[in-house]
Amino acid sequence: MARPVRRLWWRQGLSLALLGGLLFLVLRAIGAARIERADVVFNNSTEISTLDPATVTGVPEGRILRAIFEGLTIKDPLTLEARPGMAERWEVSADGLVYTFHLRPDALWTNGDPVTAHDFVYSWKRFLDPRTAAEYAYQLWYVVGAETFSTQVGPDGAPLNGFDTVGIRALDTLTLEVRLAAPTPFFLQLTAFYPLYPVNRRNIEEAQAAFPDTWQYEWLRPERLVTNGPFVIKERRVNDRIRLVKNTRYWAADEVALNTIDALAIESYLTGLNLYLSGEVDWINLVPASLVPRLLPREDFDPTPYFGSYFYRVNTTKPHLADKRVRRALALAIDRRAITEKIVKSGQRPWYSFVPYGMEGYTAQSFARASSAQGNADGDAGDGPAQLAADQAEAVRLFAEAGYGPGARPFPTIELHYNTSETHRDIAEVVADTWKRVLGIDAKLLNQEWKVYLDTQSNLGYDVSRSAWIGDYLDPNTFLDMFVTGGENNKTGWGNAEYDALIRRSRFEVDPSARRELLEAAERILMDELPILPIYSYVTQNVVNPRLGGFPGNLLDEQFPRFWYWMDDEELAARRAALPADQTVVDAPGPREGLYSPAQMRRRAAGSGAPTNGAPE
Amino acid sequence: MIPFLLRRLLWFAITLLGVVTISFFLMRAVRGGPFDGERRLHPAIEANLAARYNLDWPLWRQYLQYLGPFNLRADGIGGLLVVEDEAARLAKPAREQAQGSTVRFGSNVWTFTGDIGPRPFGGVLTGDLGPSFKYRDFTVNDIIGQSLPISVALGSVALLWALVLGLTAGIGSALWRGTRVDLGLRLVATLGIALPNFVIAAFLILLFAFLVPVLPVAGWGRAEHMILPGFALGAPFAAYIARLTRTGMLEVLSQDHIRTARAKGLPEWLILLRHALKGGVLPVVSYLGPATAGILTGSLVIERLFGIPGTGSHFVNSALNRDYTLSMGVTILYTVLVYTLNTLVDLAYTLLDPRIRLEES
Repeated sequence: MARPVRRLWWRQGLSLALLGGLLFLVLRAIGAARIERADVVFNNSTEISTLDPATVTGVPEGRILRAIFEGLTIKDPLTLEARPGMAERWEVSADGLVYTFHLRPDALWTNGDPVTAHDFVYSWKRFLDPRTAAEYAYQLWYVVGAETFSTQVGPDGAPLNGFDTVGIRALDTLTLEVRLAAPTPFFLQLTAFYPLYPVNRRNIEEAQAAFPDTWQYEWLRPERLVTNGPFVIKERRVNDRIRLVKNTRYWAADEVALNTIDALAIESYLTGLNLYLSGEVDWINLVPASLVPRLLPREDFDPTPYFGSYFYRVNTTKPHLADKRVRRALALAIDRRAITEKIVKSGQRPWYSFVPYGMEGYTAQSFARASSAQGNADGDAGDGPAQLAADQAEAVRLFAEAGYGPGARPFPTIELHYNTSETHRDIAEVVADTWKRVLGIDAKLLNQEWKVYLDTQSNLGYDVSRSAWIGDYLDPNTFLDMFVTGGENNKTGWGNAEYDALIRRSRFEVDPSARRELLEAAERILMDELPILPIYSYVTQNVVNPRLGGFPGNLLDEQFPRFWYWMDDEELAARRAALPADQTVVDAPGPREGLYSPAQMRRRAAGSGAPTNGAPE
Repeated sequence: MIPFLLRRLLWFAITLLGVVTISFFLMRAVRGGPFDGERRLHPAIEANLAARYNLDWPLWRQYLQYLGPFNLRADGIGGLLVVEDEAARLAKPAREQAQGSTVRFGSNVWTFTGDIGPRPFGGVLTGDLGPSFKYRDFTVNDIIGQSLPISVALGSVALLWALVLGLTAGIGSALWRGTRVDLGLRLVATLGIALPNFVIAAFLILLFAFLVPVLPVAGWGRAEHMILPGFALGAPFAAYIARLTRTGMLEVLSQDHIRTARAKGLPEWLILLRHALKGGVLPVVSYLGPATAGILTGSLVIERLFGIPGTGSHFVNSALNRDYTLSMGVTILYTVLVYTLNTLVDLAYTLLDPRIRLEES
């Protein structure tokens, strides 16, 4: 009897030990994760792919990089115009080809080193070096010799040309000269764009020496990464959050209000919204489409124009889609208002051009519509029921002219290709339905998983394919240069020599209005040939705590944590007084006494009214 | 027991190699690559990227490189093994010193010169699952190392809760067989099995985060963050355990040794806990292996709904992102978990059921 009893004790001991161990693990996991709420918490929607500015391309990555690095210029949070960043001033030669940047002498890296022109030469060389494999390298190909440097590669992967063939050099410690191959009016926007941010040479080289095998990750660890922006990364947990804290060495630290910011990596829109509604998050950038009507009346949801275009690509290499009359018929028949009002619902604009709504100093060119057409006009003149009926009648006429329709050849079935998503499916259904009703075309829906969808699109394995494009910088060029013959993002098989010539000439045109005319002429060709069918122009989807200041919307939907602050009750009330009558006031959690930067506090003490933090509201 | 474990280990190695090989080639056979995005890359840049990650190699070579431990980056297969004196090595420029993987034996340094350029894969055989293609600041080992403890913590809470509730309900059901209590418990259990955990989670969030705001809606970092997801994750398992326990208990309660115990005049609760439970929970024990693996890795929906940074999301996202190495990494992790847990269950069986001997299995 003694033996089994002992065994029983042993067993009980074992299970107790196991249980204890488990509990210990649980408590440790929680203990390690414990963290105070940051001043501002926002949902960045996904885990970012890397902190290395040279190799990233995504919007969520941009949100983090703008907080921790700073380029030669920064953008105005409202107008997106270039403002001094690491460069306190610059000169541009009369032909628009030579930029001379004068760096500010008080700019420091977080390791205490001054930021110099040599840092930019090093960083841009690294960025262009084929071995860095930068996806965005072409953003710097406007510089003399840069494209050749990146693309001509020896057998060992190294560039064939020396960096002295590239038009980037440091004239002295604080002066950087950049020579461009063609005048690029948006170049100062690019210098504020994250791929062109500088990295610290010592940071990388010390990691290379200390970790010969793993330096690629080691230099980016929060404890080692050297940056030059308003915030630094304190902690980073995969798929959880990035904790940012104020950088006291930042040259304008006096203007920075927040001490800590958390960027969460929550992928579900619904969870993000739940967190926002319970006050745990202060800003989310996407909401489920089905909830938009309920959010619209709230003061914290105010969609503004966003520099993006939703459109369908047409495979012009298919015989039945090669006729531009057919493509025009397809474009005219679409009921865009049904899509913007019943499916996406946030105030997106039905759109008849490729370059999106909102670009100042440029008139988007719409495709030709029925006789009374108003192009991209607002309201009923643009897309009311009467206009739609006229457009659809015109579509039937064009379709018959091309030899299809009742009594003529039957039109082959079209496959409407999109990536798996409810919204895309709903839109495709509306489009397929109108094509069937108006033109008698049978359109099948074909959805594919994202990467397969991209592959199909690149290989022209589709008939009509759902697409979208968001501008990288505020210029029509970011849209129009896609469709040059053979361009890697063309993906329609379409090409037009005159179009190519116009785009090429616009690159060398220094005069802004002449350049604008060239681009408008190019868009007119694109909208005459219609290798793409425009559908709508985007709006932003931000839901922001009304108390958060320094957060003006802008066309690129870029936010700058450097300007953020908490308003006190008084300022919040003043802002609410200016709200349109149809907006309802919602809860605005956060410090009721506000949180202002030292500079703002001084301005407030001086009694100059509401603080602006240098950022226009 | 030792021969049993050795045999298991051998089969484990074979299974793992099979899983690695098949999933490696399956993954590469799928259309689309890790660097395909909305913006198609310039062909030259695409080639640069492929070269950096060895994607321009023939598949067999990528496979061998992934499997390791050889480094195939240098021209030809392998590299040169150079043996030199520590002092001689230090005399060389820092750049050259940094090249190659080195091992020290006394004052000799053995350098494998095959390693040039970016970090090579150490190979799965050395325990190095390689760099992630999507989360480029982390190795797959880093990612699993950070997310697995979170999934384990959440899974433990869910499992404990499932066991406590399931066993109690199952025993109660068996004890009061045929009464209203039994009926009620069985109804709830059926409901628990039928309702997917995300439906339960949605109800819980609505109830405890919005109607009666006592718990956080989502997030990770405090103990109260585990309550709702733990409950939602464990609920279907609790229901299943309740049913298994009830069946197991009823079977044991009808056996001779229980009648003997009753005849001896032992109190009913003692009979239940000491004599019946041991046999009654056997089906639960065998269910625990797959259940634990399922809870630890199958919490995808719950983790997504509650914004918990565990391993769950990587199972789906890595495949969608064509993050070859991460997807392989979590597949390997799953294989190891299932295999280990099943072995533990078999071991537990011998402790609980004297009729079973491992040597015979």
